[in-house]
Amino acid sequence: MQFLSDFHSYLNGLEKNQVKIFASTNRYYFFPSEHNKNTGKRGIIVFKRQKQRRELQDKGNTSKNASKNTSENVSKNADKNTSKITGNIDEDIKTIKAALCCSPDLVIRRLKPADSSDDTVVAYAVMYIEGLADRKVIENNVIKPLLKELSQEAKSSSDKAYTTRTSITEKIKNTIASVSNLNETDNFDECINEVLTGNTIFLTSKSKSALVFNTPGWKTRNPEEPISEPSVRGSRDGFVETLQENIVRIRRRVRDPGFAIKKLKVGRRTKTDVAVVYISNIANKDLVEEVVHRIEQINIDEMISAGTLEQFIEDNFLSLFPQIQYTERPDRVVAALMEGRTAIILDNTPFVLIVPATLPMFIQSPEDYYDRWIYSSVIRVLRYLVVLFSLFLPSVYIAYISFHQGLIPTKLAIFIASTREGVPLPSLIEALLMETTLEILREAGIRLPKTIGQAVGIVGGLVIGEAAVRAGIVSPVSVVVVALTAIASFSVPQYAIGIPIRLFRFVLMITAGILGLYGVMLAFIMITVHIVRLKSFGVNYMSPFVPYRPGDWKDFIFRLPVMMMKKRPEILKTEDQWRQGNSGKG
Amino acid sequence: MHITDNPKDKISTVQAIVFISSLTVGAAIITLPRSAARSVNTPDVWASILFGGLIAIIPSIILVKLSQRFPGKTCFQFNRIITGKFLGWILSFLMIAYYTLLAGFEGRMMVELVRVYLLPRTPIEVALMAFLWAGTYLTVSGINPIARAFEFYFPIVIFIFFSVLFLGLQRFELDNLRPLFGQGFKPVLRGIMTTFLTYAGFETMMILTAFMKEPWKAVKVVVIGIGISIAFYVSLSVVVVGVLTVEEIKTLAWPTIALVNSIEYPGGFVENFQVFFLIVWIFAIYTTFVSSHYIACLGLGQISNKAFNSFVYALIPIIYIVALAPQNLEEVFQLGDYIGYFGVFMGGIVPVILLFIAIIRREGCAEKQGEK
Repeated sequence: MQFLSDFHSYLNGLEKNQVKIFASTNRYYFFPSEHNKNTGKRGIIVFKRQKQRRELQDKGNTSKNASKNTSENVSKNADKNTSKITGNIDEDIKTIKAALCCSPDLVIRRLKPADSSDDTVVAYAVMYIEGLADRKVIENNVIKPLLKELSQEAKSSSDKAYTTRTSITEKIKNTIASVSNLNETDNFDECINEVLTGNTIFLTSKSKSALVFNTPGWKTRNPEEPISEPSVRGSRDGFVETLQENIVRIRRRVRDPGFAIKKLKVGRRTKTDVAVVYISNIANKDLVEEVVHRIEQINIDEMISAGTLEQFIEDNFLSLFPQIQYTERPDRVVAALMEGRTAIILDNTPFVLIVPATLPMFIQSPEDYYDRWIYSSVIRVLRYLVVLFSLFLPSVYIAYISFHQGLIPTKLAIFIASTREGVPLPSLIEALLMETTLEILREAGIRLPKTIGQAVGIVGGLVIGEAAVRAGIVSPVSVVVVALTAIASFSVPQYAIGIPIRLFRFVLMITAGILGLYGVMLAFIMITVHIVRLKSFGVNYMSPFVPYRPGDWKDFIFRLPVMMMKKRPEILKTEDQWRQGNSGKG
Repeated sequence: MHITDNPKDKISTVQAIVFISSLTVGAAIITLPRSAARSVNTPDVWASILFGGLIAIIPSIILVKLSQRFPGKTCFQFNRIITGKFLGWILSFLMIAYYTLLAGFEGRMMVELVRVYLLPRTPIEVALMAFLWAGTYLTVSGINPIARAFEFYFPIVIFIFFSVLFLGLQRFELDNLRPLFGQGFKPVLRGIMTTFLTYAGFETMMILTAFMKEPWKAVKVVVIGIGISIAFYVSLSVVVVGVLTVEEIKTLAWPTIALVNSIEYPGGFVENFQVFFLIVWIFAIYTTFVSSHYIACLGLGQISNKAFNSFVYALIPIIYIVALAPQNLEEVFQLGDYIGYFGVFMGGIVPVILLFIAIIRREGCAEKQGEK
């Protein structure tokens, strides 16, 4: 929490003497320059395992020390008087108000006994941010009992016993405020931070500490069925935008005491909460440490979406392939945690990241485990075919038409030749044109409201396709090929893996246009070499296929009966390998 | 409990097996039936290939034993210790030359096939450059990605290769393989010299053992690895001879492709299985090319004490020149034979001498290391 104080001092300083602060802005990074060295360019984390180095310095300590160093720098510059609560209630309120730029949504309720002119009488103030804090809780559990108390006090006419500082806060704490989660603090930085997270600050004149009531209570969306990953037999709830509720969603499914949460903050200004969750007696310690380490290295102003976070912590930012899985489904996260993976939950986004991710994971669906195994296996094989189809179909078509007509079965060759008669474009241009049109249609459909999106589909699919064939610009066979490819690419279960497939499809089409099937093969080789080189958090991207892990092949192309999957995936090197029987054997 | 699979630059036993068999199964799947048939001249080609492979295991065990005396060292490093700096340097240089030639030869075979069967009008220089590019991309990645990539291609190659052979059984005539040893063992023995050359590539164990996580399993690796390529070549020769007869094979430049072309299933949609086989030989040649390119670079790196990466691009022009040096197909085949003899010299004779000297001079640790 120390580094939060830096930020506050920064704000304060900003008001007091702007020139000075801006001149030394670079001091206000929360992570010391030593950490920044590993961060290569901005946002590009160069993953180099420096475990030995890190083992020497306990990680928690480093970051604490680091922020301490920074805060020392800060306190040298900033006004020292502002960091502690003075006890003068008017001054204190002013300071907090100023720190929050006199925001109109900061609610300040002052409470005073009737004879307020008397300076010795204790005054109180309640501060919270409208909408962030639960107003009802504050009113019913803090203000109401206090007012009651005050009026009684007034009746019994100035009982001066309460003027002793300790007894006031103690009394409020013990007899008046009926809030379960309550803290005490004596500095402004914490106060500001608490107010901004939705808590309520309770100031008392003559007291140098403030009470903090835990009263967050903003409106949240109700859980809905995830739009991007609907399922037939899976659970119907999805994640929402609130971190705590998402954690609850996972906790409700895992009653394991080993369920561990590491809370971090990302974003110098947004201070977004990030939770790294894992099952402590399953997940590999190395992995968790690496995840936390990578998140800690992020040095940026704001962290708004899980997608941005993903880009900051992935292994290879140049790759087209997603190296981290994201999902809206709690059941998927729980399954991943139980396999020994780690999930990263970012506040304000319904997408939870799962690491490490491997390529076969993207071709699986949680429902594979809900349906019976033969059906699931067949569907999975189909999906692998679909991936190959949507990747290769247009390029193989181009290669055959423009280079290897001799390799096409005779009847089919004659048929294709007859349909292509009069088509002015070479097959490469034809296919590229149509694939591009398809991509435009897809893009148009995604960003538009649903009703218009359907219209786009009809216009694009039927009208343009039909018209193009009739006009003789494209041949009907290539329309079939492109349409088949499109449908195939829609049946890949996850959006993230569709992107590299779509892009590589274009690459393959061009190489097919230059070198025919030979070009397609070479391009395929280069793609596979790339995949084989990729890693996600130290795990090979193509595992369990490469390097061979025969133990994990039960759940790879085929999904064998769940009774046979007695062990967790080998590739994750879990602490507890057994899922069934033998538990605790390690 | 590191989550990372292998320590840097160490490969698992399975990876080593796949590496060796990917390396030995190369361009020969296209040419072996012809060259073997020419030298054996009887239907016992398969026996010759089988014995050639079994014989190849002997020198490979010798060279494994040799490299096990120098744990963690490749032959570029330990031949200096055995023979002294100057001779060692010459040996290393010969090794590098051998692998460079091999890489060039594989590249040339690739583009020859591409010219005949896929792109008759594309200049072979273009096809060659594309191939070298794709190869370089894998070579620069280092031993671990190379081993993983080979693991990736290996099942694909096995699956397609054996299914194509299985489909080829349709016209298989057992009579074509008869008489069994009709002219005694003499033709078989005559062919062994040719077929033995096919297994050139096992000498790579002198380098690979240094990269193994469990070097004490190197003998197992080389036996299984060569065993797999024996299975490839023997089953290929049985099917090719059984379908096409020895007499026909001798006249064909590419008997394997001829076999694949002969497969025909009327009514089936796919008429041309050549396309599937294309995948096999592209992978087979690609893996051989990459491993020889890598080892040549590694050798250059180790004799000059630099990272191998710095030589990857430098070798490409040399490989390019080697690949384009033969003027016609006959010269290409001749180059292949020379490389085979070269390989036998480097893998069969040199290690024996080196091991002999090493034992006499008591270099390296003689006891079995690592057996915990």
